[in-house]
Amino acid sequence: MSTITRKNLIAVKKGLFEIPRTFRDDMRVDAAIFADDALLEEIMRDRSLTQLVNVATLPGICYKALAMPDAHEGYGFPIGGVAATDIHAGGVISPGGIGYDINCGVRLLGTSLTKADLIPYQDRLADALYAAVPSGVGRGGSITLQDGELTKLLHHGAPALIARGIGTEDDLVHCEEGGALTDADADTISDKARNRGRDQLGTLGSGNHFLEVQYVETIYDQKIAASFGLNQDQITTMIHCGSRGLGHQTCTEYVRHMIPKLPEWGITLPDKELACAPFFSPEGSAYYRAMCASANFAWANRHTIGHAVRKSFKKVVGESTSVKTIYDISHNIGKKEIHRIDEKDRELLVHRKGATRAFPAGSHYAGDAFRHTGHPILVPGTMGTYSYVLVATTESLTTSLASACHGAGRRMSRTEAKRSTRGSTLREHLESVGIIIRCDSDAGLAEEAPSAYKDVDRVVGVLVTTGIARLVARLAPRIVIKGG
Amino acid sequence: MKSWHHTPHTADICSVISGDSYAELFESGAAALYDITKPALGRRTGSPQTLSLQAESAELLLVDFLSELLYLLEAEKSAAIEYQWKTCSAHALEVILSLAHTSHLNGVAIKAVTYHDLQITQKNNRLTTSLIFDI
Repeated sequence: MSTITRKNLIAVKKGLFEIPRTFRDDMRVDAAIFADDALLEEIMRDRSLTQLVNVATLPGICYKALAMPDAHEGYGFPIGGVAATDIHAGGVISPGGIGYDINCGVRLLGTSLTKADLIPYQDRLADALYAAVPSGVGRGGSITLQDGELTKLLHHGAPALIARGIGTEDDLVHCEEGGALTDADADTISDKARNRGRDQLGTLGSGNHFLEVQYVETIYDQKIAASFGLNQDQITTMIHCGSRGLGHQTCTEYVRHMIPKLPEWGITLPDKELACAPFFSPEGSAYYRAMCASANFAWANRHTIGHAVRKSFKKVVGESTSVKTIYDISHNIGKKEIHRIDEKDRELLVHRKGATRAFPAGSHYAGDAFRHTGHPILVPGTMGTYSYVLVATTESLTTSLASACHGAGRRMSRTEAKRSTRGSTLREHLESVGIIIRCDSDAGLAEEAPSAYKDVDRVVGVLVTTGIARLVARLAPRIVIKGG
Repeated sequence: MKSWHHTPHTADICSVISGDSYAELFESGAAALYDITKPALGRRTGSPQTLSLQAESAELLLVDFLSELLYLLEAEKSAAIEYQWKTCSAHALEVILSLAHTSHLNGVAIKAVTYHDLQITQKNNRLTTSLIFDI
């Protein structure tokens, strides 16, 4: 396998590099990397770019294989990878290109409180949120779903919870796809997947998943921020989690099912983890419907957590406290979208693994609530740094397949993070700067130390430099709830 | 001899596992999995569980085996504490698992066992592979 060096990269413009398809015989398209020089150097320290070149070999891939500025090494696809396949020209769907945590994503809630309003309540609120939203390894939620209830969630997603008194219609309006993909088919989800997810509705999980109470520290675009429901010093809450064991098991099963079939489809891949199926094959179609069902479970999960957050605010601060969903965006998903490629409108399956969509004003994909602004792009930072809200420009449609980054992106392994940072010291430091931490595990905290991540300011800066998106607001952490 | 160790990986956990036989290799994989998740073991479950698997290759069989252990851990809250191998080759295995209840995990949750970089090699009668756990 060829080694990628700086010499193999062409600087296309500020913040954008390319590896031409001539780099390796099996590449079907160019690979493009959104990064500045410093981020590129970090990205080149691991095997992200080799993985990106591997992605460029997928059957039916069109335009380019893309790496967002937060890209880092994953398995199969790099995290921060985007690949679109033309489903009407033999294009494939790759479960690994969506990730095991199907529809992992971020929900942002806005409250009627200001930073000053929160101060008398923040410790009690931290305790209440920690109690209301189970986090950490192996912790189930307070809701155990019977089979019929689970089937309903898989088919109908977050909207199915409204009748149970969980969440509001307004939450759905401010959620990607209204919290449900209509191609979902619960029959494609195995009993094992159901069993892994059955008691996990309303839970965060562990690793990099979190719940964070923040405040709006800076507004960059007053008009768009106001339209999103964000204002200076406002308290917000960000939720990061996905489809939990149900999605993990679903991806596991479909990758496994596809691998032995690859020769039958005439597909040769440089990495088994890129296992895929022609989109319209029975296997490809079944996985797509299963992915949609798992995505629905993930939206139901974040919707349930959002409801628990709302109840906690009302319980601790007062019933009059308003908590509304600003937006909910997925960053591990495959979506059918029409994009204009080579002057033709083509229906593509856009794999975004550790990347969000980014549709600007005027795009019907932005949703009715955001037709005139573009939908919010949510980019969480780390527990000690800022998170960002951005909005796409029309440039995203022509440059990045309407995609953006999903976070800061790791730069350090968990082992290295634990070696360089003591969890207890980090906890003390964060608390000394006014950030309340609720996390059972010091080791888990150290693994997610801010120093283990790239500089999020720089990462979003690349989106701005390349013209994909504009900054709307910057959020600073006040309370961090993490699984260990 | 069973052996395993973890090596750096930016996002996930990479383990290098070895064994003198497929059974040992697979047990090494299981040991790595439990080292990452660190289940808090309780009393033994009522009866052992027989696991029979077949696969097109040793790599697929290894992932199938570890995925079963992951399922037991997450859905049935139990962890294997003893392995009684009936058969174990590159394409099939049958093992009786003695299980213990797990109340919680003290480590990191594993989402899945991946196929990335998975290639079992044999050198001096020793089987080795690296294995990436998605966490």
